Amino acid sequence: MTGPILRGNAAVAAVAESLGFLIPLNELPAEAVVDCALVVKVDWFGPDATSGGVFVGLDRGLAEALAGNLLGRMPGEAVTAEEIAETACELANVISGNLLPSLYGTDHEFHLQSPYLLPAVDPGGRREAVLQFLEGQLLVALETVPDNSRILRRAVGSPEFGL
Amino acid sequence: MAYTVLVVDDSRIMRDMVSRAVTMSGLDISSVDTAGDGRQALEKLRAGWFDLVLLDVNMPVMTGEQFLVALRADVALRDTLVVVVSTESSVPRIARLRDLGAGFVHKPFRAEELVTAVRQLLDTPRIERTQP
Repeated sequence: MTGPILRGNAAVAAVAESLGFLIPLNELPAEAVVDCALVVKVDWFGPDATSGGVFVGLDRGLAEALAGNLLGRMPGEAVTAEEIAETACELANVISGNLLPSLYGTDHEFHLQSPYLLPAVDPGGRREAVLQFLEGQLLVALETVPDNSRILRRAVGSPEFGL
Repeated sequence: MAYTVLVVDDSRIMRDMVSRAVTMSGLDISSVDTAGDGRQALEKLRAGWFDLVLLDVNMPVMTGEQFLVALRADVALRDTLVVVVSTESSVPRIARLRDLGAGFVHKPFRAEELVTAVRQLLDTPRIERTQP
C-alpha cells in the first residue's frame, strides 16, 4: 500500500472480523476507488453539541458475504436484497460505535441514530478506513465538521495536534 | 433453573444474533422473546415473567438507559437481571449503566463473554447490583 495507514483501519478491521467473520487482507490507500454497491450512514450526536455522520460503503461481493455470515447461511445459499441492506446497516452501526471512541477517546458520549441507506455512490467525507477482503472492499468515512474536530481533539488532548 | 430471556434491540439482525448466541451459550434457557425498543420491552415485562434482559443502548422511542431507569423505578420489575449488549464505549455512560445494576458486554461479542457477564450478575447479591 502507499501513503499513511488510515487511523480507523484497526477498529474497522476488528469489527469486520468479530461481527462479520470477514478477515481483511490489506489496508488500501485512502484514495482507493471502491465500487460501493451499498452506502450506509449513521448520524451521531456528541459532546458540546457536536454532530456528524459515519459513512460505510461496501461493494457487492462483501455485502453479500456479510449477509450470509451474519445470517448463518451456507456458502452459495441466496440472501435477499433486504437482508443484504439490513446486515450492512448493522455493520455500519457497530463500526460507528467502535470507530468514534477509537478516534476521539472513551471519555465522550456519542449517541448513534439508526443507520440508513444512501444512494450507492462514493460517500465523500474524510476516509478513516479502506480495507480489502477476499470477498470485496469496504470503506469508512467521517462527515467532517470543523467545530467537531476542534472540540473533540481538545477534549481528548491528542498529542498529534499539539494539545 | 431455566431462564426466560428478553432480547431488546432495534435491529432485527442483532436480535436474531443475540438470541442465537444466548440459546447456544450453555446457559439453561427455556425461552427467548424479543422487543424492538425500551418501551416495548417494558410492556412485555409487565405482561409476563422474564429472568434476564439483554439490552441494547442506542434505540429509538426509548433508549436502553431510559429503559433501565424506568425498570429500576418499577417495584414489580426492579430486580430483573439486565446485561447491556452494546457498541457503547463511553466510560461515563458505561459507569451509569453499571450503577443501574446492569452487566455489560461490548459489541461485537463472543458467546463466552455473554455467559461470563450473566454469571457475574447471578453471583452478585441483589442488594449490591444496584448499590455500587
